[in-house]
Amino acid sequence: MRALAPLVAAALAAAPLAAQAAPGTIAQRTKGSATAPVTVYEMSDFQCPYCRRFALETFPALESEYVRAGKVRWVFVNLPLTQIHPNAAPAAILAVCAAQQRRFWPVHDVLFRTQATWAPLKDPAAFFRSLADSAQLDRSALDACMTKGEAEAEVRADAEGAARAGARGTPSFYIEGLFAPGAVPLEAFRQVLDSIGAAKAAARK
Amino acid sequence: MLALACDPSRDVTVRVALPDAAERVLPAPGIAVVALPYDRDSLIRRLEAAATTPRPATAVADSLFAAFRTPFASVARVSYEVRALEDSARASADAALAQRLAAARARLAAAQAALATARTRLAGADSLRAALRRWEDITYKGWDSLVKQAAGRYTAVTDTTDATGVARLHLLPGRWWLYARSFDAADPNREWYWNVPLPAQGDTVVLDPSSGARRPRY
Repeated sequence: MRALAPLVAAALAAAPLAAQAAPGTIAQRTKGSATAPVTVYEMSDFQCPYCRRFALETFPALESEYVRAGKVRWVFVNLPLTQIHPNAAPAAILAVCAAQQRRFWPVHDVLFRTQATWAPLKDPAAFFRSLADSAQLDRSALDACMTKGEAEAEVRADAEGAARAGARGTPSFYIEGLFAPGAVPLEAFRQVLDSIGAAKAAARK
Repeated sequence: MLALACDPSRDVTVRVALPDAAERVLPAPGIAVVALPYDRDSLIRRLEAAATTPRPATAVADSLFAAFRTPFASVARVSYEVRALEDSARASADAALAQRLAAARARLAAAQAALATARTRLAGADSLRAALRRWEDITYKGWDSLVKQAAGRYTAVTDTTDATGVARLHLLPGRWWLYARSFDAADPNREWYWNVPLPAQGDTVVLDPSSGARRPRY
């Protein structure tokens, strides 16, 4: 898992330069304070039902208790499992294109909420366009993003980084040196985040 | 705690079974089973197709190997018979048994003499083996780079069969071939060889005489 941290950290460091050439959207896929003592990397697939369950049932509580409280910075990393989820990559590309318009999180939410509708589609493009409209994305900018290939390359780079880091399935989490595969239940997440937070606070004293 | 996840990787159980000297197919412990992300036979064929010189002819070695096989099998079979009779003789003072044991020992000595003769003749294959090694060194020179290219981001996954002949592999999604080789108990100049494409479905693969090939060991 160690390989992911420098990869994403480098992307985060580059994020303020987003207006310059070929920026990644990692900053737009990040929630929480940059000075939060704990960073969680979530490696996720929009077509994975366990990711959906985590995103809609577990993450809102974590966001409320840890991210908004400034205790945790949350980074979303794309890991579309294309071998079993044929629409996961187009969904991830849509999300990255939304991130370019600073609308990643609304699209993230709506993709997971509507997963059961688009997951079985042979070609989800039309449905994704309707989602983009409902998320108030600029259509022409979106079309340009979807066809240019940069978003696809970014998704691929995310997935390769996650794979190099050891992630085989989704969701998987990297929490300050700890690799946690699977949809970790809320209570287990609380214990991990509290213990890491306490250890970091003690180290600062 | 096992958290639920979407995971396209596969756990594959490989059962290896081989004939012993008496041709009884039994679970084979200690066999290295390798899952390769490429078809090694096709890579070998590509390199051989591009060879600048023809592969040395092996007909002479093949006939020497065939001539060696019978005395070797005879020694193996009679040795087994002698051991069994010796075990029985230790538990019994039966005169008929002692006679049978003496006769078996005499046959073993004759078989060993025949094997020694065949082994001397087998030395005639040494020059062919050496020529083949030289040809392979030249022909397969590009092997490493070809493998690197074929494997892409995947790396081989290996396990060794346990006492029950079972190996377990955890594989990423993708196309895999199961590669293994083992000595042939019936013939030291042959080996068992498998290069089996992993089926898309199923979690158990059997490597046995029906899925492998007995081939000369030059």
